[in-house]
Amino acid sequence: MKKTIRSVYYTGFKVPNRIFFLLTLIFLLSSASLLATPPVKVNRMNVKEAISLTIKGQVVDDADQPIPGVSVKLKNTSEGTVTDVNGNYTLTVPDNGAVLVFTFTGYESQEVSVGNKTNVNVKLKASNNSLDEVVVVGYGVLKKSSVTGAVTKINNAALNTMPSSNAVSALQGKIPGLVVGAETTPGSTPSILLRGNRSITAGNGPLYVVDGVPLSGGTSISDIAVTDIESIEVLKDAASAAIYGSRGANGVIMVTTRRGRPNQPIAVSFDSFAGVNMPQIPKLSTGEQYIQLRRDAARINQIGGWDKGVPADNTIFFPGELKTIASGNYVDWQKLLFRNGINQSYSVNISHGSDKSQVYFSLNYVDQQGYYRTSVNKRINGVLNADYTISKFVKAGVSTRISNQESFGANQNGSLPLIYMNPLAQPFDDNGNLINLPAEKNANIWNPLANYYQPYKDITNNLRVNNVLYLNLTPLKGLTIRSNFSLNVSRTPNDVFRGKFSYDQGGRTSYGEQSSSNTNDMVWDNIITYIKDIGAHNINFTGVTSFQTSTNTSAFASGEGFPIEDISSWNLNAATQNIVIRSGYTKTAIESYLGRLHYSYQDKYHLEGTFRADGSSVLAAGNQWAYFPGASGRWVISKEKFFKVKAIDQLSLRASYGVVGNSAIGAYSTIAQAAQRAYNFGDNVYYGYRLGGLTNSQLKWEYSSTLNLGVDATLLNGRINATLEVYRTQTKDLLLSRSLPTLSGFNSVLQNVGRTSNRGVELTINTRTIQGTNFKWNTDLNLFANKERIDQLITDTDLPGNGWFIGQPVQVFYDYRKIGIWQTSEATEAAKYQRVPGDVKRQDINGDGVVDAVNDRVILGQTQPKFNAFLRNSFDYKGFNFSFALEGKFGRMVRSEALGLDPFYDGQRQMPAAIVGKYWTPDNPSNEYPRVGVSQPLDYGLSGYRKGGYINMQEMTFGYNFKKSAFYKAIQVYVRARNPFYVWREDTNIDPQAPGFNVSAFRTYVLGFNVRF
Amino acid sequence: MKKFLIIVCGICAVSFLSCKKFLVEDPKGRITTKYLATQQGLNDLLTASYYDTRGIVENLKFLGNAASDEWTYGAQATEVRLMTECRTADFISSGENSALWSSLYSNINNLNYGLTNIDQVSFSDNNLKNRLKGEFSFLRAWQYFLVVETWGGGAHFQTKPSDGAITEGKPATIQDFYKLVLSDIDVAIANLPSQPTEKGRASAFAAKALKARILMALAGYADNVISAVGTTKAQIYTNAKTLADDVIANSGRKLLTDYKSVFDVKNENNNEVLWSVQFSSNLIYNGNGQKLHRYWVSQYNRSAHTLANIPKLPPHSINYGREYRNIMPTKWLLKLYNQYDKRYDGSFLSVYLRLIANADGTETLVPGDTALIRFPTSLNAATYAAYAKRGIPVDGLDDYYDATTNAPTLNGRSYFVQFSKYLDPSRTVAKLEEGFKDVIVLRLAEMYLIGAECAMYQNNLAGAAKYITDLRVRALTPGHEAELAVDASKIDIDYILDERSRELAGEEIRWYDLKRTGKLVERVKKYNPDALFIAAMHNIRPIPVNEILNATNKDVFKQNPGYQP
Repeated sequence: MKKTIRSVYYTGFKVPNRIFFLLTLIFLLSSASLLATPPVKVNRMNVKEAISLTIKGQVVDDADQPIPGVSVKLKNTSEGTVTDVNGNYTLTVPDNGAVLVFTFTGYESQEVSVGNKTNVNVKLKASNNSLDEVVVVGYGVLKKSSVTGAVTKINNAALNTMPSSNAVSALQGKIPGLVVGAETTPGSTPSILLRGNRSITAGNGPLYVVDGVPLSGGTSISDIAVTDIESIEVLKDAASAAIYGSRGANGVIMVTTRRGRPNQPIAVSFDSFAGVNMPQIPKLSTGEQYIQLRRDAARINQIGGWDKGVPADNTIFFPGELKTIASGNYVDWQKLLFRNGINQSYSVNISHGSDKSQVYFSLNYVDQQGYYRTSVNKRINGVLNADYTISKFVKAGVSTRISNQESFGANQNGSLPLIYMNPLAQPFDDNGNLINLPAEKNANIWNPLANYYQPYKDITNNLRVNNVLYLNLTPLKGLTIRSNFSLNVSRTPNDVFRGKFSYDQGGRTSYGEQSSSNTNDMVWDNIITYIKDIGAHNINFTGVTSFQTSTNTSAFASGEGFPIEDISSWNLNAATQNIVIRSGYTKTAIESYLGRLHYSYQDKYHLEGTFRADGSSVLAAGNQWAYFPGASGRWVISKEKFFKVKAIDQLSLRASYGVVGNSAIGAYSTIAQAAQRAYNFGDNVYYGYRLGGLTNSQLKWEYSSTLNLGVDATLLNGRINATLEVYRTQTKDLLLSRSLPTLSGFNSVLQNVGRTSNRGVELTINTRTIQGTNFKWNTDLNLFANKERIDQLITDTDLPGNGWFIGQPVQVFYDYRKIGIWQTSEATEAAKYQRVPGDVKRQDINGDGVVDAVNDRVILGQTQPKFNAFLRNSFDYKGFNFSFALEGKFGRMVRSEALGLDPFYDGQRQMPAAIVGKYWTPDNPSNEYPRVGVSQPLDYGLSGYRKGGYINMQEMTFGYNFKKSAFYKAIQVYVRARNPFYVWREDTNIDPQAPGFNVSAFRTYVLGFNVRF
Repeated sequence: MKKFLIIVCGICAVSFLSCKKFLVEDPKGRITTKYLATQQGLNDLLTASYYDTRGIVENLKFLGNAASDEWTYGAQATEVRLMTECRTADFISSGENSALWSSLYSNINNLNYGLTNIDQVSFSDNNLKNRLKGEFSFLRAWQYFLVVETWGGGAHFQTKPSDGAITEGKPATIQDFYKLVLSDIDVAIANLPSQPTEKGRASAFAAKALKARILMALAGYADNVISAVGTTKAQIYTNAKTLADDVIANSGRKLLTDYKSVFDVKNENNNEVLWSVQFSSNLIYNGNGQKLHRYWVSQYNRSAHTLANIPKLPPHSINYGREYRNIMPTKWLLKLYNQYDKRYDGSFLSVYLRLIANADGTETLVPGDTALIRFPTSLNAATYAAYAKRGIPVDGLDDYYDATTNAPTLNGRSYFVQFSKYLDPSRTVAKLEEGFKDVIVLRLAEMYLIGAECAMYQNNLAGAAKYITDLRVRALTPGHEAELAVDASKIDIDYILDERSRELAGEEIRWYDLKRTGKLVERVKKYNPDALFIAAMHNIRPIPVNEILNATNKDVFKQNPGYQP
């Protein structure tokens, strides 16, 4: 009976297959050509000739394998070289007792006195001490052991543990202090919040900085493939983020993409996974359960009431429904509407470096199908990072990322169509044709399957090109001048066509739309860095000027009533009515100057001061400039002579204080605009203009200051690394969209009012529990808690109309408290509250006999978790590996429309299986859910407030690594699951990550294959 | 080395040469509010103000009609039920109540801007200036009149445009509002042309009709209020009657001979309309559209009597509407019409013809093939049987209402007699919610009723009877004129209110009529069994709760009495 799905944009496997073959071809060709290339001839760096001694040597690791790319430097100078592909180096040094410093990421640094040796071979020890890592800190890098602020670094291996299509989603749980929401639609970037809500209105999203360039309007973190990321650093405290001044208030997430390393042999890798995305949508009631519901609803509301017995079926059900009941041919609409989508990802990358030039190239393809059959997200993106040393003093390079993301939307108007479609409503007629209005009850609801069978498309293309060009000059010893020029171009055309009989049009007219949003971001940064060692003193100064503009133009055209639907949206001038055209322009600019001085003494004491001045065009004249200072220090106690605790390898204390800002408000917020309204006088038509939104010509920056204290420790020969952070953030001059009494003609205004604070504790413990030759066991544990609080509001009193309360978190649920259901025996008492049995019983907080909005609403809970936990364990045994990660959120509340809002509206709609048997009837005196009925129970929405705590099995992987062979360096195969099950849910009736009817956190199972040459 | 130092200095120099204009915003393409303070800008502001009237008539759909003797709630109602039952504590959070408040004050702010600026802006066309002033004044008079009648003197009173965020409510007194409303309407009468320059614009006669309505409401207040406004009750009745007579005699408007055609979408701008809010089938200019057509629609694909499905009728349609089932007539209203009163058929749908829904979304009405009849009377078994024999499902009064309580039955709240004045068969497909039909705010018939009411208060019952007789001419069925003859001796305020229902049912004025005549509690208790909790306090609506919660002067700006413990 089913017709073939004919929606033009419904896609199966065809397109991905072609691209998969293309990628494989590229991969094979490139591998073949690379294998055919003769070994790289290493050109040695042109070191200044001197009266001197030439030293040669080889650097090897514990297993005596040569390490290419190791930095070999003459101590206290900038002179040096790197090892070649065989780990060899040659360096000319003065003959007066030079000291060479060998450093390489992941290994302990070594210093060797040359003396009169000419051959210095070195064996580097793999580092167990994360403090030897290099950390990106904004306009520069620092060794982790000298970092003074709260910075968490996560490298590629730790990031790439889940089948995620984007970096944010891959971060879930892994950074203490960072709360990441679930990925619910293909290609969507999940919500992200660092150390609680600070701002109430002006956006709480962190600033993303990719390869040193802050992302704005036209760029998105979701463009970057996880496999292309070298590391992510999160700057959490204000002193660290102060270097980004006006945009650092919500933390800074710094993404470093992979680059070729000097003298790196050709490396080719291919990473892939494919699997299935399964929606986790709450199960709805069965045909029998739904029939019972309708009978109960009719029985409650009939004249004579419940006791009169069940009315005859033919007075409750419609003829078609009776037919379904007789045949038992119930319809599972969820099955028809949703699917298990295919999720696949392929990436190829090649990296290579000589001493002069280094290259990283990658190509990625991601294809994710959503649970709606029309919902697909495809992304193809590529990276070319190249660095070239022109001369001893000049280096230039480029980072280019191109990306095209194509999203095919679903647009199913929330959960409503699904719950109107009940198991008795047949989607197809006897001839197999789709019935437009299938539900006899709720007969005005269009068939939600219509978008699959009618012309329908909603395609958004995100076409982005991000370029950073840089020129790096080192005119003097220790002095670096770098100029970055970045141009990010984003084109987002939207192409929509909906046939007359599609779900969205519901028989009205056909609709076509072509629109486009074009953003050009330009950033020009000039960075001067000066590093100088004077004896045991080290000075590191950074000065920056930065100019940034973001320009957006947009155009929109739509029309309705196309004579032939086949022309789709490609011929809008065929539209016969409601032709709409729009265009827009916005431009914002930020201008900044900043300086940072880092001072170290004996690597024991570190002090840092930062100062930034920012000017932003979106703020009112006179308030555009603001200044952001920061200061921080680290004391490495374990380096003190008095410190003699054997079990502790390293212990340091950190303290920082800084100020950052937030100007995340839209352009032209300070300029009063008129709003267009169209009206007709008879057949004469006009455009009119009225006063637009209220503007505030006084807008200024929102400031956040953070005091952060931290302890870093390494114990038991690097077995255990632990970090503890304690912080307090205070935010003042909050940019607030404040609800006004509408009596002035306006409903809200953006103001600087109020203060908030966030206090929290974060603990990270990484242990290498067992490190045997055959068996390894590593554990990562994050625990963090944040307490968010509104300290002050403009009126010095609560603003319940806005949902803001002094002393409470920023986002709270403020409503009546449900204390049960009014029972038959309580009818008299219920009547005092103008309620009847079966209605929700609300608590009369002040006990005055009336439940009203002013006196009897309370704060029911907060949306942000009070406490978060993340635990990851990985086990390796002779090539087999197994890992799993648990992620938990505690002390939060969610609102589920599935349990509260929709099912009770008129007692006729489909309801979640969770409610079956738990709704009130006189015979089933439930205290959980109100009665069903033809007339709705009062206050039914209160059942939707649910406790949202959970522990989720976030990821499980089982894999095998093949032993290295002549043909490849590594092959890894694995099976992996994301969100396979909840270990614990505070409320088992809901999916706490996506408590709605039609949104779902993906449950994904994939098979992965990675190979490296 | 020197070379590099020069480059370094060059870069530094350039990068520190910050351009002064770098941070200046240039809102290209945006029309700023400065534009409004010009001749053309004020003209456009007026157009936008008319646009806002669409929201006001939409938001009066329930508040203008419930709680009343005419209407009660259907199966899919939240707000109408709350208003009808008069659940006090829930009312302060009512979305409908705050929507009306917001739409009125949002528009009033624009009107304040227009009236404050009109004398500052230089006009090249003085006639235009006068007309704009008249139209702004007309709209503000109507809107502040609605404010004071809905929420009383404790509502916010402001005559200047809001300059920045205002967080304090400024309550006034009834007389303050009425002084402003009357002065505005007088400015309107003085400045407006006697005939509208375009369909849908205010005219002097529309303003006079509105003034008559305003005066009748003022007459309902205590003497001290009336005298504070500077008049007396007797004077009000004299003035209102003069205005009504003037409009009847001189406006050029005439009662249509066919009552039903007053509300015919093909007959918009008919000669009975004094002022209507405009909607357009040109979708660009129709905004959110006219949505009133939805709320009174019942389910008509099933018989209330047999509960059998009616295959000749689709569940919803262009002709018979979208079955929202929000608001339905009380039993009292259906029984109010004499069976020979043609206004019943002009207000309610009785006979449903077979409808064929075509595949392309259009409908074919099959004349002569009756699919359903819904009678406003009780039917006996013989009648049911006779129709059943002919294969026509029929429903009677006892199918919709419980015979003992008079409240609608379970099925009655879905399968009731539906009100037809707002139905819009010009919509192109059944699912279209944005209708095109104009909404009549002022029409000539009301002037006869005001004339009759004034005459009655002046103890001129014969005069009152004359107005009603004139109004009833078109309601008469030939051969049954006697059934609708007016007996002057019986005329009192209840008689007038009954007649107003027959003539003006559902026209968003009933609650206000009951309130101003002091009959709200008495008549609603008597005729509407669903009005469980109605009391004297319900003569004014509560100030929407968020208005008070968001205001910063709660000690001054207070909830209306009785609504908050």
